[in-house]
Amino acid sequence: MMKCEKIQKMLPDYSVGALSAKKRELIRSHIKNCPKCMERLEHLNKIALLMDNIPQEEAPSYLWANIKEKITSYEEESFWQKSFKWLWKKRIPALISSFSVLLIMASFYFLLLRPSEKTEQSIYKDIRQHTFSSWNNPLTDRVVLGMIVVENEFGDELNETNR
Amino acid sequence: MEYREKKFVKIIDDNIIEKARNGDICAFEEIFKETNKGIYNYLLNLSLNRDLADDLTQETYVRAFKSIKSLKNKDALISWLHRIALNLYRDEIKKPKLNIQIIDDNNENNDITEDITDWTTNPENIATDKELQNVVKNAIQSLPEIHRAVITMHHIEGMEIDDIAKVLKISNGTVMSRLARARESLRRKLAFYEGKK
Repeated sequence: MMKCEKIQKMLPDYSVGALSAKKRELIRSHIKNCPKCMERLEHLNKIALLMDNIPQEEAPSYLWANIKEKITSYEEESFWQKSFKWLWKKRIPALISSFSVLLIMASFYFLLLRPSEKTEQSIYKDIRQHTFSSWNNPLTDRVVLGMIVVENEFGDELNETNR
Repeated sequence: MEYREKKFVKIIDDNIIEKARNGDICAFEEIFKETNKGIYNYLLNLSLNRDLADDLTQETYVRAFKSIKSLKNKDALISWLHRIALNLYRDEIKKPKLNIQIIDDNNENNDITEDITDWTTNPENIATDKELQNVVKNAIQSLPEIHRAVITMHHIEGMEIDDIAKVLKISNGTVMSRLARARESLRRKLAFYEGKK
């Protein structure tokens, strides 16, 4: 026979009908012979019964008058007033935040990720130069590449210094 | 559609809902009359504040009127109203400096260890025992909000588990689990009476 402690843990779920058929049967057979667990279950059921019978409070009588007034004034608003209110409440904050995100992304792109201004032609020129310079000599491959990059990046400064 | 409130059934005619959807204030008033008690009590038990429950009930129906055209399933009217009320309540509690004054109608019964009628009398007496009901009512107010919500909808308003699950957007199993935990909490809070014979 299952211990009372385990049964009592399951009793709240049993009282709301949340247990499987197998567990329900287990509890039924236990409480038949266990007055203590039976009493615990009765107590839970009494609480449910009491709650079922708690009367609902009446809502204040002035509620409808206030609601009607608000509804009527809403009905009287023009289409443009309603649209503006709807936009102001729902859309404008969303538009502002979307615009801000776009602005941040655009700044990020232009400041950090903007592609090189090199034209396609000059890129082909670099590739050609690299291929011919390191022809049949893989050891010079990196050296030539480094020279091309340095020339592209600092060519103007180097020319200034040489002068 | 049917709305079980306590032991009787309230019926809101589909035609009334349809008329309200077309902007008929009189039809909407019918809906208000049939449902306001449940919504008010739901908000009262959530907020534990009469003024706030008043305001939120008004706001719930104003918002419901404005958006009733979006109600596709007429059978879901009660759940839909509760959902609006719940959303408004959640928005409200997010606001800073909310001064909540807890309901204090039954000062003399707030102390649940007070001597009251025998807890172990027969079910009919229990169901009609006002004193005992007040003790349980006060004990419900001391439960966490998630438990108060399911207790109010299921026991006080008489809503089905399915509908409660729709309002709270949780599974039926979770609703039942919350109900079970709430009952167990109440049993512990009221354990004093259990042994009283």
